[in-house]
Amino acid sequence: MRKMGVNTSNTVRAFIGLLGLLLLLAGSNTQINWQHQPIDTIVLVNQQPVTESALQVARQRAGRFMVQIPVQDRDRQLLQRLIDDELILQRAEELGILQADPGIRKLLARSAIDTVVRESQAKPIKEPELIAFYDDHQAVFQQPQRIMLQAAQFDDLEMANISRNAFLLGDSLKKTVSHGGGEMLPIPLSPLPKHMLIRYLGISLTDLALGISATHISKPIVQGDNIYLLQVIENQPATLMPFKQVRQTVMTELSSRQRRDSLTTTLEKLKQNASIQFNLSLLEQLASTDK
Amino acid sequence: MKSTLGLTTNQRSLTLLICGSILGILVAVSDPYVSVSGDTTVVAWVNDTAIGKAQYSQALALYGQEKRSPANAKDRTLVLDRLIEEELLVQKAVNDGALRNNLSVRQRTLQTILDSIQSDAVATNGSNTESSDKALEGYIEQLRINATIEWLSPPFIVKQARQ
Repeated sequence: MRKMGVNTSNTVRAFIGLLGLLLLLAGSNTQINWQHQPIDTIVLVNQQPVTESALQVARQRAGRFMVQIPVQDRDRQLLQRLIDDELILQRAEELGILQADPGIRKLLARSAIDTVVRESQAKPIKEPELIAFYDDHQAVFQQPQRIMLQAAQFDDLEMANISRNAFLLGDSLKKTVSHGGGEMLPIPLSPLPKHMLIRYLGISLTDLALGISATHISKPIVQGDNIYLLQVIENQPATLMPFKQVRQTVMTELSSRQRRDSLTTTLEKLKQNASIQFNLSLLEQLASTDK
Repeated sequence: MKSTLGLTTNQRSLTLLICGSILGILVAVSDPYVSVSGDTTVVAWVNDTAIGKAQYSQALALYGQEKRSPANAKDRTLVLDRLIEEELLVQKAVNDGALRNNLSVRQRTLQTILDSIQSDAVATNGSNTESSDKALEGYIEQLRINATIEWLSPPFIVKQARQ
């Protein structure tokens, strides 16, 4: 009976011991680095592999600088160099240089971004996906509305009205403006998209101009101390480019958006899996100091 | 073999073990506690890596310069968010093995260490190339002595493969 009791308590001990071990493994912050030695590992330097492929790259890079050296000696030297490099890299890790050096940090961040972009680009884009993207984003692939116009500026509303009436009776705008004491604005006489017109007319006059039909003239527009007349010569509406014609642009745009999306998704995932803690009291203190 | 409390030695040790285990479980299931509130040099921790006050203030000042106006609450959040994202990307790159696989990172890291050894040598012995080289050689030799180097494929096999 007593023997059975001892056996039971030993089993309980063993069970608790195992449970403790499992909890220790599960709760540990330390990553267990199971060694995955590449198949072409030549030498382990503090358990870090130096591989035949790394040696191959070193041979290519050494190239013509080591042409004079016999193959055996060259490989010995290169291998020694790779081992020394590995030792220095491990020392850099120990010293925390990867975290501390701003230049290396930038390169590491760039490397992570490149990896994400490369993975995103490795996924092939299928034709239906491309067509669906074109259909969903037609505004991106249409040629914008363009208008060719003339604009005149006056100091006096009466003169602007007289010039407008003369134009409506058949005179040219340029002639009526010069007689009415106004001046023509220097706008190129060619169909211009909205963003170009804004440079010459500003946003509000451009918006008005886009609504005027071809060959029509606006009523005098008062803006501040000035009065304007806008005469639209040609108004080309926005046209959607056929898919076949813009296929390459659609491809470029979709790839670019996929790259951006995959980077955003990766950052979101990294944030979700990370342990991030803020020092709120210090942040508040810094914010109040700045004010 | 009963104690004053009426427990055998065996029972007592088992009780202690169970109490210890419960305590261990409680410690294991609780989050690792990192106190950041009392720290005056760290604004945030990202997976146990600190984002320092100086780093944050510098980034904020640069942002303010670009914006040409003092940073508001939204700007401060944005700057801190960018610093956190940068730290996460750095950690990802390190985990992905960029230190060894990315040529730029590898070379820059090697060069940083070599430069620091050489500047130490220059500070000690003046700008003497020979002493600088010696210092470098000595440093690497020390690393070799302390390292565990295990050949899996003997060097001569590698050499023979080339021939």
